[in-house]
Amino acid sequence: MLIKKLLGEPLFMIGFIAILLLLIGSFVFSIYYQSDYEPATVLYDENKLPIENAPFSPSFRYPLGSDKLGYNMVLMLLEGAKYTIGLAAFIAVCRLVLSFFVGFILYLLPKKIKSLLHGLTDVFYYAPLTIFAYFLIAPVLVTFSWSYEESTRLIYSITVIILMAVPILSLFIAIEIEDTFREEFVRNAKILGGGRIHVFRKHVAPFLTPKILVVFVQQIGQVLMIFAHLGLLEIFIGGTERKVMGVTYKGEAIVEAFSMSHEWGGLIAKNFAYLSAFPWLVIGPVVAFAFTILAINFIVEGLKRAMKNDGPSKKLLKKKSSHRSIEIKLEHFKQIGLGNRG
Amino acid sequence: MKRELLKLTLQFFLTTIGILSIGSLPYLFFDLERHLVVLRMIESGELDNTLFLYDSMEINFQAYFHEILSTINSLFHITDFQYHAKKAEFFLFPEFLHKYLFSMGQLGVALFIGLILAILGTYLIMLVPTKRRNITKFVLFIFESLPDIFVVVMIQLIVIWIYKKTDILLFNIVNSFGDKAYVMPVLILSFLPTVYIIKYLLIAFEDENDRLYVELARGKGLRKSYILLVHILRNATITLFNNFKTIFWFSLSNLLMLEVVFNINGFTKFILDNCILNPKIMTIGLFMVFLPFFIIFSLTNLFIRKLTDQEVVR
Repeated sequence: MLIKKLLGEPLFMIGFIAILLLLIGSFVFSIYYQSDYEPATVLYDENKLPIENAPFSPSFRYPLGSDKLGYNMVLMLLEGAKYTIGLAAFIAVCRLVLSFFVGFILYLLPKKIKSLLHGLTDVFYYAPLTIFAYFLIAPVLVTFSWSYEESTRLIYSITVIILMAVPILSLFIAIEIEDTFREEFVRNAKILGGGRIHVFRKHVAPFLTPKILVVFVQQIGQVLMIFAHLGLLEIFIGGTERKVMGVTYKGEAIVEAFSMSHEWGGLIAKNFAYLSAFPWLVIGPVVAFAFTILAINFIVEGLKRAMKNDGPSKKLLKKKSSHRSIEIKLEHFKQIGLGNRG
Repeated sequence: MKRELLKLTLQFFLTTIGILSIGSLPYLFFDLERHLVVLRMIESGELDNTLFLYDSMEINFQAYFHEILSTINSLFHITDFQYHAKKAEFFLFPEFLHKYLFSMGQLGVALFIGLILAILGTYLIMLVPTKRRNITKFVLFIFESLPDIFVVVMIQLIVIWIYKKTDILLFNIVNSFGDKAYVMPVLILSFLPTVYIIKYLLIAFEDENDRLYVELARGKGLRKSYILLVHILRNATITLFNNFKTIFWFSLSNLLMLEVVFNINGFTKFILDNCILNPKIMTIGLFMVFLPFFIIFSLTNLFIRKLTDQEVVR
């Protein structure tokens, strides 16, 4: 039923299709085109004369410009889309699953402990999540980044981002479960004799599911924001590969780290220093983030509207309230009895 | 009254414990003392990289509790606290306090501007008939969804672009030596909070519009603008106070991004730069944000509760 309502909700469809296209494009690109793709570091015009050196500014062929290796920004963003969005979705799922279990346990706990935990989780409201993430991930990704393996760094950063949100999220879920159990239809089900698990499965869960869906999509948006922020703070999650860019006069190799997966946060991290010189290097991923987060917010808003309409259909509502309002004029009244003096 | 004070004190202690626990967390999972020694050596140039060193994650309760106690100790001797940067030790105060007041001042001004603009904006929007209002609401929804870095980066680029084309430097963009950028950051900082406050105010206003007392006022013949400004605003401010915490939280995150992109040597940037070498700075910074705002939040909650007998939504 909900799915049918969703399909009729324009906001949801726009957002959903946008993200679907992005992901499909990302996979198609990697599977079919990537191996054939060879970046060019110098642009030639019709007379075979070099006109520009990588990174290229935005033009028709390179709508968002290119990076220092000559990779087309649009294609890089497309390829990185599946990693960024996929990782964000994965983190959101883990957050929700964990928070659901913890939230349920919290719901079962007595009230005093709940208010205790509420006080503890208040900490998170006094600083942006990004600072917490940076503070906890930095020891692994910044300090001793060489001595940890790729997989450890990835797992650690993902775990930190997941666990960071669990306190607030689980408390939220506990309150939602509590509120749902207080609803009349649940109380009636209990009075009619339903056992706890039965009431939960048949009555509470269908009521909770849309709410949790909304929270899930919101979490994806929030995690994407964290990726963007961490990118600005030059922390990249995901694979890095080091390429030798040149040699200093001392004979040492200048090594630069590139995010081979082209994950968007990594792209921002890498290119942030070039903001004034080659602005498109940063605009590209920022626009990509903005576009995706906007699409996600469309999906959330569409979901909320579809949930609101989960009562009688719009047609029925229109019928019920279709009484016309008439303007009352003096002529409608017939004066009876005496005038002003009475 | 006594019960509420007790609850507040309990809340205060719990959050304090929370701050201490999180601020010292790296000590729990890493041998942080060793990390710090190595980091300082890298900074002073004695070490080039850590390729030959090995480190692993281990759970370390003793170091964790020791760090918590040490932090509490430092908090009581805060003016003597020294932090390590650029191969030397510096006193944290009063420099930290100056930066704190600077950044919080910016935040405060931005929120104030945002509030005024939002009230004005909501008033104007409410005067518009319903159909056009929905379009405005949609536009607001789009602005609200934009990530803060997008807004910050875009505006900076627009100013740079205008400068390149017309040689007019609209505002001071980046903080360079001796030249403080002040107007621009505050304006940008107030953009997203304005959008949020308008969103919440609009919902509150529309809610109030359906209430009986508004109908009564209209029946009495009061002008729409008068009703809006005097009666509805008074009641909608309560919803605003409910959401104050969330608005503040978003603005703090906004401030962080702003300071990074515009290279403002503010409070949050200072914490970012120095919290790796000196983890205690993170805890101290958290306390400095926590103390005044906890008092502000609690006072507004109490005030609303006394005034309206309404429970504040958590």
